[in-house]
Amino acid sequence: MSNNDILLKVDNLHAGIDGKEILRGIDLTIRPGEVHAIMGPNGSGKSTLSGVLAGNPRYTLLGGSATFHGLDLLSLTPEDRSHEGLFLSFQYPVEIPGVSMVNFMRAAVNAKRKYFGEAPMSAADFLKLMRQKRAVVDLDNKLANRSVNEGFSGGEKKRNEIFQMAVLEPRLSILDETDSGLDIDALRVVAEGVNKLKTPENSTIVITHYQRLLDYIKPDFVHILYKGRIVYSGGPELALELEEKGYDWIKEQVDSKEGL
Amino acid sequence: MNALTQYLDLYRSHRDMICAGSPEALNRHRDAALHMLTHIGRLPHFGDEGFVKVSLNDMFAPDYGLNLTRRRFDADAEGAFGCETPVAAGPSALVVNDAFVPGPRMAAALPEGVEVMSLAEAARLYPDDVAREIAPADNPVAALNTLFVQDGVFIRVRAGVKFDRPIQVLAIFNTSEPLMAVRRVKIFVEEGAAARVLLCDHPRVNDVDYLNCRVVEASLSRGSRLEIFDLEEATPRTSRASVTASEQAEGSTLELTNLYLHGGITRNEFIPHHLGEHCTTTVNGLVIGSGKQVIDNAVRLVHTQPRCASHQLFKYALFDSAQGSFQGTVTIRPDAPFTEAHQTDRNLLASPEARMYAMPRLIINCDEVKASHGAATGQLDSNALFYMQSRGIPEAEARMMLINAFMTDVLAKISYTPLHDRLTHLVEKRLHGCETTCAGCSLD
Repeated sequence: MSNNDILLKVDNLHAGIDGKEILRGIDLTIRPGEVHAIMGPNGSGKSTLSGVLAGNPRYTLLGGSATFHGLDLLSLTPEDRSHEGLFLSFQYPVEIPGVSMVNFMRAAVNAKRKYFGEAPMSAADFLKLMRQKRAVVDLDNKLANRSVNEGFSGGEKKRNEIFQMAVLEPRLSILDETDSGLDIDALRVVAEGVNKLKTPENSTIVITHYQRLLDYIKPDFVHILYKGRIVYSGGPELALELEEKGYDWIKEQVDSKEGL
Repeated sequence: MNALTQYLDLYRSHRDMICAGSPEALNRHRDAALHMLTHIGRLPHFGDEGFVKVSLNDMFAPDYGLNLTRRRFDADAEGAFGCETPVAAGPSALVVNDAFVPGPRMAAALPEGVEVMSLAEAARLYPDDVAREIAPADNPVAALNTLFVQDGVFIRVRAGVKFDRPIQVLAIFNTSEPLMAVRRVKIFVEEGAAARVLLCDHPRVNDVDYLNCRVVEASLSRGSRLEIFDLEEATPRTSRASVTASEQAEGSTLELTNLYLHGGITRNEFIPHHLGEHCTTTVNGLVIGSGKQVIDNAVRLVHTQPRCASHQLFKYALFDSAQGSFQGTVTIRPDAPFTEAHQTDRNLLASPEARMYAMPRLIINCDEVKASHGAATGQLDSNALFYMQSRGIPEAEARMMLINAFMTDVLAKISYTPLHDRLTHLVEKRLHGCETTCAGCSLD
C-alpha cells in the first residue's frame, strides 16, 4: 500500500502537560475506512493523545510528528485541523452559555466553507442541513435553540457531538470515551449514528475503557496504550481478551520489560 | 490643585448673569448648591471615597469653557445628528452641547398626554416640578449641575398614558473649543402611566476635550412604569460625570439599563429611592472598555420601604488597558421588611493589562429579607474557546462569540424588541471593532 493511502501517520509522538511527559513515543498508522480502538487503563495517555491530535493548547508537544493526508498536522491551528477533516468528539462536551446551537453550527459550517473559498450557506440550506443531520442521532429539535450543551443531559451531550460530526463530515473522527456517562439505550443511538456516518473513505479512532462500545462500533484494530506508548496491537479479539483478563497482564509484561 | 475653587469663583463672579438668563425655577437651588459645595471645600480626590473610583477632582480640573452667555450653537437637526440607535419612528429631541433643540417632527410623533420640551421652557410652565430636587442635595456632581444648569430636557407622561415607543434624547457635542456641558433631564411619569426613554450621548468632534456634567432625575407616581436606556458612545477625549436619581411612589417600576460602548473617562452614579411599598427597581449595566477607557459605575440604593424589590446586573468586558470599577451598595433599613434585593457583577478581562475593581455590598439591618450579591472577575473560558476552534471556528471569531454571549443576559432583559435588537447589533459591532457612531441613522 502506498503512502497516499495513509490518512494519519503518527510517528514517535511525545507530548506532556505542566512539565510532565505523558505520551512517550506513539506510533500509529490509519488508513481510509479503518476503525481503530485505543484502550488502556486510567492515566495511560488516551485523552492526551486525542487532545494533542486535535490541537488543544493545554498540551505541550515534545517531539515526533503526525502527518494527516500529507499535511503536517501538528503545525495547523485547531480550526484548520477541523477544516482539513479532523473531528474530536469530546469526553466532556463543553457548555457555552449564551451561544445558541444554531449560531455555533452556522459559524462552524461557514468557517469551513470560507476556508475552501466557498460562499456562506443560505439560511434555508443551513436549516435543511441541520434537519437532515439531527435525524442521524435523533437529536431533539428544541435543543437547537438552546445554548451549546447547556442543560443537556449526558446522553444529549454525546448525541450532540455525533450530530456535529455528521454536519462537519470529517475524514477522521476521534471519539474520546464517547461511551462514558451513557446508558445502554443512548449508547446504542450514538453508536448507530457513528455507524451511519461510516464510509469507505473516512476513519475512526474509538478511545474507550470498555469492550461494550466495541460491540456496536466494530474495530478493525485494537491498540493498548499504557504509560504513553502503544504497547500491544491486535484485532478485535484483543478487546474481548481485555474484557476478560483486565489490564494487569499487559502492565506486568510492560513493567517487567522496563525493569520496574 | 483644588478643582472646585475655579467653579465656585466662576459662579460667584457670574451669578447675576447666570440667573438673569434662566427662569426662577432653575435658579431656586443655586445658592444652596453653592453653600453645600463651599462647605465640602473640595471634590473627591482619588482615594477619598474608600474605593478605586474616578477622581472627580481630576475630572473637573481642566479649564473647560462653560456656555454661560447662552450662545446658540448651529444644529442641523434634520440630517447631521442621526443616531445609530434608531427607534422605529419614535419621537426624538436633541441636546446640542447644553441647549435643547426639538427634533424634526417631534411634536407630531408625541401622543396626547406626553410632553417633551426644553427644561428652560418647562421651568416657566411648571416651575415647581422643575425645581423639585430628586438628586441628593449633598451629591457634588448634582450640586455642580444645579449651580450652572440652564437647559436640558423635560419629559412628562400624564396619568394613565402608556407610551410604548421610546422617547429618544440625543445629546451631542459639536464645538471646536473645549466645553463643559451642564445638562439636566427631568422625567415625570404620572399615576398608572408608562414610558420608555432612550438617552444617547454622542460627541460630534473627535479632537476636542469635553466634559459632560449630567443629572437625570425621574419621578414615578403610583403604579407607573419607566424604562430608561442610557447609551454612551463618546470619544476618548470626553469625560462624563453622571448622576441618575429617581423617586418611586407605591407600586411603581423603574428599569434602568446603562450601556457604555465608547468614551473616555466615565463616572456614573445611580441613586434610586422608594417612597412607598411594592416598588421594583432594576439597574443593569453593560460595559465594553478598550484602549485607556475608564468606566466607573456606582449604585447606591437604600431600601426604606417594606415589600420592595431591587435587581442589579452589571457586566464589564475590558480589553487593552481599560479599567472598570463597580461599586454597588444596597442597604436594607430596619423599616423595610420583606425586601428582595439581588446584585450581580461579572467581569471579563480580555487582556493582561485590563483592570477591574468590584465592590458588591449588602448592608442588611432587617431580618425578613431575601438578598444576594456577588462579583466575579475572570478570563474567557479556555475550554469553550478550544471546543469552538475544534469545530472550525477561528479563534478571533470564537472569542467574539464568547464575549458576546457573556453580554447577552443584560441585553436579554430589554423587553422592547426593536430596541433590544438594535442595541444587540451595536454591541456586536462594537465587539468587532467597528465604529458605532451616529452616521447613517436618521432622527425621526
